[in-house]
Amino acid sequence: MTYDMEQEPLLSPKKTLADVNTDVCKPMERWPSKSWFVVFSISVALTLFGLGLFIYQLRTGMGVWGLNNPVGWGIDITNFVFWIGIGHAGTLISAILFLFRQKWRTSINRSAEAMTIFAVMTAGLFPIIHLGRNWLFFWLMPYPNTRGSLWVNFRSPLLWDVFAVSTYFTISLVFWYLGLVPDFASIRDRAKNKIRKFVYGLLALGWQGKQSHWNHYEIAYLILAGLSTPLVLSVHSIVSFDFATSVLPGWHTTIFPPYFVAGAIFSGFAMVVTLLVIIRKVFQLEDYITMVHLENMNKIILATGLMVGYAYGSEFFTAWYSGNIYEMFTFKNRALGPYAWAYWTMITCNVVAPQLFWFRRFRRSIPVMFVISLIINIGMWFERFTIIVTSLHRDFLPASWDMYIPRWVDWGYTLFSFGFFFTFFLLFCRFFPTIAMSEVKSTMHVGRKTPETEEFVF
Amino acid sequence: MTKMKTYWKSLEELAKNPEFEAQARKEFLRTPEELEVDIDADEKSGVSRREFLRLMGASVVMASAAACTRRPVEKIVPYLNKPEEITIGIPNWYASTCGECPAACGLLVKTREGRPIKLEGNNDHPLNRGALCARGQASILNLYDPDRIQGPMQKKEGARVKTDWSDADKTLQTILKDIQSKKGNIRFLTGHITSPATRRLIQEFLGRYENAKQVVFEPLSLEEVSKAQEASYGTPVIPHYNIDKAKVIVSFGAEFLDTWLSPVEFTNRFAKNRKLKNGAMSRFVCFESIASLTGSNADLRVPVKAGDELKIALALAHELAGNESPHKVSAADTGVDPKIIKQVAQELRQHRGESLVLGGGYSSKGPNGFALQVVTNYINSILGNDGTTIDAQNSPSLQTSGSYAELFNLIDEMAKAQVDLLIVYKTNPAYVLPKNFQFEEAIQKVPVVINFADREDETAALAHWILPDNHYLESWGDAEPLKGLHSLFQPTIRPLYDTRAFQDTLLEWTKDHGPRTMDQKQTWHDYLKKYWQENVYARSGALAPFELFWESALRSGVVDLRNTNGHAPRPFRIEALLGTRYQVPGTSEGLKLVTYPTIPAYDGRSGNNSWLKELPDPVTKITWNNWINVAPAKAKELKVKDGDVVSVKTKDFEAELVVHLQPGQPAQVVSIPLGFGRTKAGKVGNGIGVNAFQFLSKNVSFIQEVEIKPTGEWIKLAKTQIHDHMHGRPIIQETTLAEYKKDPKAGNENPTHLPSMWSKHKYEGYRWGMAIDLNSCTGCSACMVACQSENNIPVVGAKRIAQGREMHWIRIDRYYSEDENNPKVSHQPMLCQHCENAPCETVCPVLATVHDDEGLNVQVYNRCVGTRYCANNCPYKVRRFNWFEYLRNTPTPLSMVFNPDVTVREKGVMEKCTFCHQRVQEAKNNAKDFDIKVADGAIKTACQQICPAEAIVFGNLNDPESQVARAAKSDRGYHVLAELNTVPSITYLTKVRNGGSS
Repeated sequence: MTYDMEQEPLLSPKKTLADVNTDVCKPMERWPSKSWFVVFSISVALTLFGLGLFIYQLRTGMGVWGLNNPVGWGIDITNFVFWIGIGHAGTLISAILFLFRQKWRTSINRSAEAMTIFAVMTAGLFPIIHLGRNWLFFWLMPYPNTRGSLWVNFRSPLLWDVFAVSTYFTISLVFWYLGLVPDFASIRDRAKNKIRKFVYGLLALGWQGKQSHWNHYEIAYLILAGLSTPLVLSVHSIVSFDFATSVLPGWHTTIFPPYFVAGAIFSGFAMVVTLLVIIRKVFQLEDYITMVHLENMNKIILATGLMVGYAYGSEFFTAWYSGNIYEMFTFKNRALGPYAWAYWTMITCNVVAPQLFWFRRFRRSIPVMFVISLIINIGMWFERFTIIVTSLHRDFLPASWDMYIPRWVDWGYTLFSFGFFFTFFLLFCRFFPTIAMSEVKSTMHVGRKTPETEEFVF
Repeated sequence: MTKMKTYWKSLEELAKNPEFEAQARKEFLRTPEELEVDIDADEKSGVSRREFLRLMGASVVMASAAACTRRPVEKIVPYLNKPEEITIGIPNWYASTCGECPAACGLLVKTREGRPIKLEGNNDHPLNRGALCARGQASILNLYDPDRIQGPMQKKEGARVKTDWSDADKTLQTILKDIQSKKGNIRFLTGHITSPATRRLIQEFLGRYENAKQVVFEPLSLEEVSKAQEASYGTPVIPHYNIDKAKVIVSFGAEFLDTWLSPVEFTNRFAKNRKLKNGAMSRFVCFESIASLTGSNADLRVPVKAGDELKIALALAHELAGNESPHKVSAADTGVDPKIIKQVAQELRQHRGESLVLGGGYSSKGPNGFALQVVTNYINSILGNDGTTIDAQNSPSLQTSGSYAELFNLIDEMAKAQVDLLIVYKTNPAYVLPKNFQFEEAIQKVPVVINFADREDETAALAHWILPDNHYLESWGDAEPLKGLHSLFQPTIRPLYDTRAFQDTLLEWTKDHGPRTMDQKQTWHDYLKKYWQENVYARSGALAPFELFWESALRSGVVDLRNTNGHAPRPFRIEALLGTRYQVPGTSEGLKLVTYPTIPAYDGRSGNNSWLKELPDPVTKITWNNWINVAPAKAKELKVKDGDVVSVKTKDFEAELVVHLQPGQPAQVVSIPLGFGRTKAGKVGNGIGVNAFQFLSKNVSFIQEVEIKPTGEWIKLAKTQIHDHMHGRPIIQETTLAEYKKDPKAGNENPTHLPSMWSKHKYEGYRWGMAIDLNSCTGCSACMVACQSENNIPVVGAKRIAQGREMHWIRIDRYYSEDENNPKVSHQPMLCQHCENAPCETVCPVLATVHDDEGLNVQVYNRCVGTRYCANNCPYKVRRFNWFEYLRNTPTPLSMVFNPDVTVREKGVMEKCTFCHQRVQEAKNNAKDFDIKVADGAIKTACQQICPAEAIVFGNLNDPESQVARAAKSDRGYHVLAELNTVPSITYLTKVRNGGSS
């Protein structure tokens, strides 16, 4: 019996360096297909629908939502945390995996980072939408103003959110853009039309691929990766503080920061899998985004899924062990109360479904992973819904308990968030290279023998 | 020594410019003399600048004062010894009387810039002592009701058209003359009239005609009480019940803490004996067939089948009197545990002369109502309560009158076309009477019907003439709720519309050919004054001239000429008990329906009042609709659940109502609140709920046999509280009197002491705090309306309440404990706790809610962006969010009710209880004028001021001698959710129940 320790190749071995540029740039250099237009119009329509909702809300008041007195936050903040969570995988893949020298990240980091940026943009809208007086959202920023000595409350986790999310967004954007620079140069060089050449030339910031350029680029990239790494952990930790620093049973929990980070990675990777399965199919990039990449991500999903499952269990244990009647009630209410359906949806989707990934066959099956990744996204949405709504709707004084019944506006905004996200993501697919060409090339066996062909590839 | 530095103001000074130096040495830049020259120059141009500004300022002030001021024409006198003129920004208070229900409590009307904005109880009035009920307070909204008719109306060819007073007077005077000459029949149908002067005026008016008669009709009168008094003691009278003198109270369905007779007074007197002064408190036993607020305050509540009250009262009488009792009903036959009856008898026996047995309420309106009254009279007599806790001779109650029988006679007369003129005042029988009583058909046979209603209500719609009476806040008047207790109504605003006092109309009609007592140019004001001079003044024995007496009566609002000493017990006529035909209700197992009045709806008279519609029923917490109470056990049997619509069918009427599962409801009884289903109340009140008066049968029984069938529909009732159980949480701390006597800390043994790493807030001056005595609070909900009125709290409507978006800053949480079939009930006023470690304050990102240096948690509306994080993090859930722009389009007259001292909040802003910050500020300003500290008790929050039970105390916690500080330190004091270390400023005092069920 022999042990095959040989690693499976990351990319299809037959590809040459030139193929990389041709294949990745192909979608950008042809007229979009009909189906792209269909999907894009749906997304834009949903975005405009959301805009309409917002105008309606501005005129009528926050009451157009289904929120009420005990449940001051519902689907609005659920969507916020959900999208922030989605926006986690990108920076994790690009920064942390980069620092850990995980070469398989190169095929997926570009799309994952794009996803991060658009997800954070989507998420960022919700704290503004959920304000009673949205037109005064800028009061959340600490800046010298003419309203006397008014300042923000640095003790409020909501303010930390503002800092955490905006910092995360800025760093992610810069990091993403930096990675794009050499690729923009490639596109510029391939461009046959003047405008295209000019636009991508501008975006490429005069990149010429010189030794010195590469030298600076690599150092800058490394530094940014280093800067982003703590942010990956901080942003969702701070989002979790919104809940953890409150007094509400079900929110007031020390486990929240790691639990939220694990959950975010979990959902982020699920979303990356969903998107990449589609992209590699539609843009025929199967040779670049191979089963190796997908399987690796599925492994991470399995691992983080277990962490999330552990957190669910430990919450219950803590509630029981604390002897705190309010805490115990809240968790009993989660599992058996009127929102038990949401809780059990969450458990099924997040804890049970990923267990299939223990089997190699399922880890490597495109249909299976696609369905599971969707299920996980649904589950993670319900996780946030459960945490927010079940804790609020029955808290300390039973006299104030009530139910939260989302109205069409609540669901409408949720649809809008997907429309908004996909509008940007679809534009990204058309105009930006979905795979980091320059980085992928570094993982190719250029000048080396590939095990299958015994030939040199150039 | 170093040379001094040179400091200079300008380059000219540095350069030592001589011109500048001359200028700089002058004390004034321009001397007064120089200025004089300038002014002369101005004057040459006509008006000087100063003069111009002076004129303009004066004209603005005069114009605005003229525009704002609505003063009545006659001279009225403010309550305080202030100059009578209005000071802008300073409220004027006028003593008056509440005209909402016949109880006639004393009022203080707060007016700002000439318009009444809030009603409070008159502290000097011995009936209500500063308190007022929810309905009384809300009656100010009726004044500004946009649905009031704005002038006299006439029906011409079937259509309602406007007319004017002189036309109406002319036509009606001719009609009256005609009737007088042909000796026609005039019937004057009124509600109960509290005003003796009006009563005399009506009698004088009717005296001018040969066949004229007054008919009094009150839908919820207590005619059985006076009839039974007549049968038992010889005189028809409504006694005055001295609840405060009773150490043991036994009630057979008399809901004296809800709506029965004089609820504010009774709540006040009842609560007086629940304060555990010297460790003593009264004992209250309640036998009732529904779950009322009164029953929820009982130490021992016994649910009984409707109509069984009589049987139990007889058994109790038998137990007390032994064989002297003519009716031998044994305790075992009552369906109630005989031990309970024995125990109650024992307790009563131990408190002879200090106990009180009441019968009444909805069971009074059943076939056994009269007999029940006779039996309770008998029990009171043998216990020696007559003359001590019951005053039927010196100063009995004049707070109700009227009878159904008289009205039925009138209907007969009308149906036979024997009535030539019907005048209707202050009553609405077309709404109350079921269709099969044929009131409408009968009234249509009367050639001329005049109605004095303020709106085209159900009865007024049938009238040929509607001559709108003033609202009572626009009128003069008087009241005599107890014999010898006189109070006055003062108009606090000129009539908003072209309305005229009812009494002025009567006087107008009798001017030219009036009886000699009527002066030719007499107005109602003159008449009233004269009446007082001849009656009240004459009897008062006052030495001062009448004008002074009158002024002081107006100022204080009340003249008390009562004899409050007890009287000798009256001999009970045993034949009343023997001769009374009564039937011990059959043992039929059929389901009984009881219709009953609730605090917010009463008999439906203020059906268009949005504050009252929004005020949750104190027991069920349902708003904006009526419902049917079903016992949980019965509901299982009927296979219905909360919110199911059922068809309710009695012999005469069928309607669909929504089920509410009411713990403590006797299983064989369902009950429906009265006062809903108005069809012509106005925009707010039309078509809400079912008119339960329609279930009355011909014998005017409020108890009916009933059948219930589910319809399969379900409706979400607009409840402000859905969960009734405390889930073992220490929210209400309670104990029994026996335990309390052993240890005053009973029920409150484990006060939480949490260590803190942080230094506490420092309060240098005041630290405001509140204490709420759970043992006094009866849950009457008057505070909720007081708060609404004081703080401009919007009404949001049924749909939004059902969504959980009520806006009340103070609510009464009501919890049930122990047995579902007869639970212990606790009422807990819940409002912002003004926590020292307020969870809301830390989470607000924009510092819109902060702690002030007097311990208040203040909400800065202008800064709030509406994250709602504070509300989420509030463990008491007392914060209220403006989901919509609630008050922007308030119709014109309605907006006059707003308190100008309190900001109206915008959409998207969080709000909550401020501890009536405006009142705190006012008291501080007043104290500052005298350079003193705010005295204890100088600040009364709106909820505290109005509380009939005096359950709320507010004041300075830093002053160890203040009432609130003493309450906070008392053994009974605890904080709700103390374990969260929020350190609330509100201390609750434990609830103490006097004995259990055995």
